[in-house]
Amino acid sequence: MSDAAGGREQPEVRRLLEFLLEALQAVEVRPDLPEDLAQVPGLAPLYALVLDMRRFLLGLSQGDLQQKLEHKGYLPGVLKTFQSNLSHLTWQTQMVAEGDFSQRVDFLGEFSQAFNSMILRLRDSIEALRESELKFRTVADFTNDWEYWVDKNGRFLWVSPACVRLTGYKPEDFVADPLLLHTLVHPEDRAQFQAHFADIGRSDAPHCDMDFRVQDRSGHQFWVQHTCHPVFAPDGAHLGRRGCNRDITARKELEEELKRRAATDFLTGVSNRRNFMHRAQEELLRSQRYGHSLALLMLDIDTFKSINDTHGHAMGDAVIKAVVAACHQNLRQVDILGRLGGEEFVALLPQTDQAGALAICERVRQAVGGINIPAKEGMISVTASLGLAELRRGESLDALMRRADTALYRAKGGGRNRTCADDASEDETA
Amino acid sequence: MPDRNYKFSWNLIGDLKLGRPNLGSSMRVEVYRLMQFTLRDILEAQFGTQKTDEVFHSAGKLAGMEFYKAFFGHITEFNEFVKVLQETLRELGIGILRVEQADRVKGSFVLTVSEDLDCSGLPELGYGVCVYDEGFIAGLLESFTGARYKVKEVDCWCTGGRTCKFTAETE
Repeated sequence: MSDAAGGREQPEVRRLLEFLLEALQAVEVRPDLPEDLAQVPGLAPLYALVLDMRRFLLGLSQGDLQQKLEHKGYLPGVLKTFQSNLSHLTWQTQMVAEGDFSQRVDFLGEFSQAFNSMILRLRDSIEALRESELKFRTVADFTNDWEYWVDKNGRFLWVSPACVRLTGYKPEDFVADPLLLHTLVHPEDRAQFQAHFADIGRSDAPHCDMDFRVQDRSGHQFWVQHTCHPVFAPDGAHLGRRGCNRDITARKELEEELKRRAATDFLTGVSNRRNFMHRAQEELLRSQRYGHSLALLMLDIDTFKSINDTHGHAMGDAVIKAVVAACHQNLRQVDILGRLGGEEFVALLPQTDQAGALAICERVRQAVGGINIPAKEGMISVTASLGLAELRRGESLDALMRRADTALYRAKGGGRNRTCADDASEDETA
Repeated sequence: MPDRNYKFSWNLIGDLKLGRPNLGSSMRVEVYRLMQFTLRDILEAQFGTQKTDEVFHSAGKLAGMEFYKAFFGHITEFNEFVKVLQETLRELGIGILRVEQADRVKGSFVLTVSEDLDCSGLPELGYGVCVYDEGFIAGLLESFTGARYKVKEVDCWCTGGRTCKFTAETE
């Protein structure tokens, strides 16, 4: 280094400047002044300031906002202002995290703009999300169906409020007790339900659709149609299963009523021809499998056409109902009674041989003979003719019915109000 | 006869619309500082520095408490209090208040006031002058929380800072 006047070297000044430059530029510096500079006036506080600012700046660059800078003056002041700004920013970010989207930054230049834009975008996104969630929640909460979402472990993550109306239990009851639903399923349906529930954690478990009965909190029983299917996140992760229980009690009752109507005779309530044939076929196979006896009787109301013609169809219907009542009184619980059509009836008598069947037929015939129905034209008396046949080994239902019908035909031909057994003239009674 | 002439009341502020129809309610900061520092001068000369600071601290605290009653008495939630306080101080040109740290459980706060009415732009003096602000902040916090606060200015424009920093701790 040279002085201004003549360019002569000033080694002490050069040494001092090099030392200060090193204090600013070197990665590591000594904590105190070197011996040869220790006595330079004013250097000690300057070096202490440099060291303090180095420490402070290093901490700041590493995100330490708690450290203190003891020195005063412009440079320390600017650094402390920067530290304060970062601290403000931290606090404001915490406020945003708590949901305060009114926070704005105006002291960090371009960063302020970016931060404020981010807050606005965040606020708009969350508001949009809330609106969207409100829409879906409104749909979900007001559905009539008892909807739910269970995770892979069978825990309820969400249950629609409709469960309260259907079961008397709140959504939180199902969330708190994952097995509550199992206990509500009717004991006869529980095994089927639990077998299905065991698959709940499988991502490949198929769509499920089943009906079962549920008991509500007060013990009242109702039917639900249960449907569920696996749920996946957009990235394909298996999230569990989405289920829906729909109250189908009214439908089930209607189905039962339709089944009953399809199987029974509208006037008398006994099995119609189709249902009788179905049930009789099952009983016939059972008898053949176990080697039990089985008899079939056919009954025809004598001169029924003249009753209709003389007294009208209403009275004819009353006669038919009275005959059915007489049959019910003399048949057993296990016997199957059906109306084949018009005034013709049939009854299947399980575990009954021909002699037993004959006795039953006679009781029926006599009960029918005791029917007296008052009418305008006078009292209506009723008689019936009966034919019976006992099942032969390997015989079909049609064949058995043909033989009973033949016997009935003989009873009619023999003067009515009598019973004829197939292949047994000695069993004929009148 | 009342025993005091200047017991504070907002009535003493007066009806500025009536009294200053042309000049309005604003005046220059220099005038405010002129009054403050001439007052400090006389007080310090007569009662010493410490007593002067005590007077300014107490006056600031009274101002903070009256300010709270007049503007923020209805607010119960801390973040809302801070927000309205920030807006009000800025709107009135008192300063730009920001929060560095707030631990309500411990009752510990670090606050800064930028562009402070009392000190921003003053020369470096080597000591803080915002003793009135200390009292003002203490008055606000005590009114809001119901606890007594010790407020200390740790950085000031007059010590080379670009913003005044205050710590507030419950006593």
